[in-house]
Amino acid sequence: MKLGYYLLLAVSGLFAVLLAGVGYMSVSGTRDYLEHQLGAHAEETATSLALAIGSAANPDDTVLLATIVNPVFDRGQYERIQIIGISGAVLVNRKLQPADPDVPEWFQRVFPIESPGGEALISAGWRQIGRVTVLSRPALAYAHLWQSGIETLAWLFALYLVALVALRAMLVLLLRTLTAIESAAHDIGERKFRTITIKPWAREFKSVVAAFNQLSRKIRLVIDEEMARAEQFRREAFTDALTGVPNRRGLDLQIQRILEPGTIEKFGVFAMIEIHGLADFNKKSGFQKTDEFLRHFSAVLSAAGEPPDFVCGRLNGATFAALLTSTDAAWAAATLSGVFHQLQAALEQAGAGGSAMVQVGAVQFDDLDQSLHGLLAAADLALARAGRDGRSALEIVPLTETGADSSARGSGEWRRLIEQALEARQLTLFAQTVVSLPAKRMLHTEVNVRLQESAGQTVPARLFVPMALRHKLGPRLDAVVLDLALEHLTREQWPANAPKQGGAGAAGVIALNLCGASLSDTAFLAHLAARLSAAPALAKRLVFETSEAAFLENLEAVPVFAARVRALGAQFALDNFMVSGESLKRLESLLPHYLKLSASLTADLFTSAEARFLVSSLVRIAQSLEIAVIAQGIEEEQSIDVLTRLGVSGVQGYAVGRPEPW
Amino acid sequence: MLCALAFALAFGSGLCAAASQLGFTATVTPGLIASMVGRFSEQARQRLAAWVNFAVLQQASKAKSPQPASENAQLRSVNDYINTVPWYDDQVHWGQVDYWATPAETMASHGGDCEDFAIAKYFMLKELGVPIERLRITYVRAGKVNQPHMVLAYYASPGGEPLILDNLDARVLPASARADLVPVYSFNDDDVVMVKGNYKGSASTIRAWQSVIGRLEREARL
Repeated sequence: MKLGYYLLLAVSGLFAVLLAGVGYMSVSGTRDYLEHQLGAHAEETATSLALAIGSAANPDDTVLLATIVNPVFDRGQYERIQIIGISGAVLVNRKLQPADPDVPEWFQRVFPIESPGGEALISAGWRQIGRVTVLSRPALAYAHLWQSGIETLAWLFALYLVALVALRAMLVLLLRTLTAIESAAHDIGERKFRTITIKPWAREFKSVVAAFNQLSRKIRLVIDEEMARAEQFRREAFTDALTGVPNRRGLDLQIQRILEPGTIEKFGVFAMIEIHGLADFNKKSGFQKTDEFLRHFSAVLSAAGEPPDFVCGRLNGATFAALLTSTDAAWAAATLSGVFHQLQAALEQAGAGGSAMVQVGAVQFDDLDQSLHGLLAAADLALARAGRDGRSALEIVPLTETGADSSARGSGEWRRLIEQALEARQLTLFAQTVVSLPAKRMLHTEVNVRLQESAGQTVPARLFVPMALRHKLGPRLDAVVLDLALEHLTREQWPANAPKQGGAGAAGVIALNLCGASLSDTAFLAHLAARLSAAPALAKRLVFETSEAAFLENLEAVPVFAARVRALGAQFALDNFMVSGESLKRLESLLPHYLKLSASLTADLFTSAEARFLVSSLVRIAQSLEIAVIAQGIEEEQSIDVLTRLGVSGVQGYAVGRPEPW
Repeated sequence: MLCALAFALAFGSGLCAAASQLGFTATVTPGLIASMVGRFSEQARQRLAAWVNFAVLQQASKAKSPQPASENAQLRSVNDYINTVPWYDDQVHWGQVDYWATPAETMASHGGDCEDFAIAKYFMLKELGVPIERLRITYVRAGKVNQPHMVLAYYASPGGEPLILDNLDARVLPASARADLVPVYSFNDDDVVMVKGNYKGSASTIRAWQSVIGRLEREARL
């Protein structure tokens, strides 16, 4: 029960007792007053009767006595009037039946009115004749007492209600602070470090709130510092230190985001730009001049456009790359040609016109579903063609001519193939183990899907999934994979059939990948909810992963999805994490179960200090938010040592386990 | 509330013990003597001692003699003894228009007027064992001085003729022999204790009597 209710109950109870006491005392006081009045009245009547009888002509005449008594008695205010002679004989005795007062029995018992009698001595001169005794009727007094009791009770009750309302309002106002502290404490428990804005009146609350806010601010500050440092490392890791343009990793990231499946179809040109003879120029002019030239060259190149239409970077010493995308096929080619001339001019300007030359090899394509790998290979081919004559040259080649087009099948053909496979459920699940560092205990199993071709061969996910996404078959694919996985789990009754994996809860955890479109697809969400609520025990063993890119494209939908999945008992995690600034800031509110780092981040841990800094900084941030960090695509045993030192808590890759049919 | 209740209980029980002896010479304690000496003069000490002594002697003689004869004798000696106290107007003696003194105040101050004497005689006789239903303090109109006056009436039998103890006429005479006195109203503290043992009832309406009882209670606590 809430503290407020306890207080309200206690104080209102106390108040009720107090008011009941006041009510009792008030009625009791009225009773005493009425009793006294009755007594005084009887006494006065007795005295005046005694005086009247004493001064009568013949006080011994009983008829006369009765005549004097009757008018007084008949007023009806007395229960009894008696005249007793000095010898003790009753001379006059008038009596009314005790009237039954019109008030409840219990009331008369609780507040009895004892009607005191009045008595007076009758004397004629010095002679004592007898006594008059008068007894008042309490019925009238009872009625009065009852009426006043009711009124008192009504007033006290009204007062009680007003007090109760006032008390409740005051408690709510006062305990508002406590509620705020409670909710802030709860948030901090959920790793949301925020401060309390409410300003309490009570001194104790003030101190608590101040201490609380200070603590929260400190933790916040530490996290913010970590974030700033990570941001710094990220910039360093993705930027070429000399020229300030993206390095290979940075360009990779940017291009991957542009080439993400599902983007509006655009024409594109991917170019590799090489400065030939840079080494000679370096030898001749010194490295300072060379650096200056490279900086200038990069500036000219990056001035050609703005992301996402134009991105460029330095791949290595003398090789740059650029990607131009547009809805207009001619624009990209024309722009590239303009850039080529500007670069040549820059070369001339640096006085390297003689010994060095710019060679540009570009591939032109009209379909953005390309892998960077394929584009690089094709552009390399075009670059070779551009360098044929040994002078500055620009060579733009359609991608189809290079023979490096990954989409050997036609788009329609892919669609038919995938739809067929979904219909017939010709999909095979492959499982890959993720182990913890440094203990190498099993963390979970990531399940991936491969498509079975009619020929009995399988098509890996990286080939057919982009095509499925392009044809908006993602949610359907995810639904089928979910069904297959749940069926498999039900059939296998994991972990009962796999005692080697320890049977511990974590050993049975299965990670499934979902595409961005599924996260807000109503049909898929309904399907997911139905499946998971039908098998709550299995739901506890599931982790749903989605890529960071999908997260960034669905900033609104993903947290909603994560909450939904948690409500169903499963977990949510981010895959292919490439530390885009935005996603780092939003980590705190999303709080995924774990992060799987993009393989591109961990690929050159040996050679790049920046990459190591970035990973360790990321690990620190994640640790402060209690999020596990997992490296994937790890193929070499040595990498594991580095990752362990950097504090990465899990690893996935050929080094620890290949994907096996599940 | 509890506090008040406890106080009333303690106070009440003390009161009950003393109530039967209110106005008696038994209440003449060193405390009372000191108080009276302080209020009046050093002579108060001897006067109170003499009063106590008188009461002791009366008790002794009562023990010796048979009842009916001794009661009349007691009336006379008490009447005579109290009547030795000189008469003063209340305004002169007490500085108030109408002041009803307690017996101890009357004896210690050695002065008083008609009601002080009537009260002193009433309590003295009560102390000597005269049943109070026979005693009535009576307002009278005195023809001789033509002013409101107060005497003590003694009824040997309820319906009979009373004896009058007065300071205007020092003799104890039957009412019929006192044609100068016209009775108006009488009371005793039988009326007072009549109802439930509380001071409710006829005498309670006599404010001055209530004041006397109040002072008697204070004296008993000294």
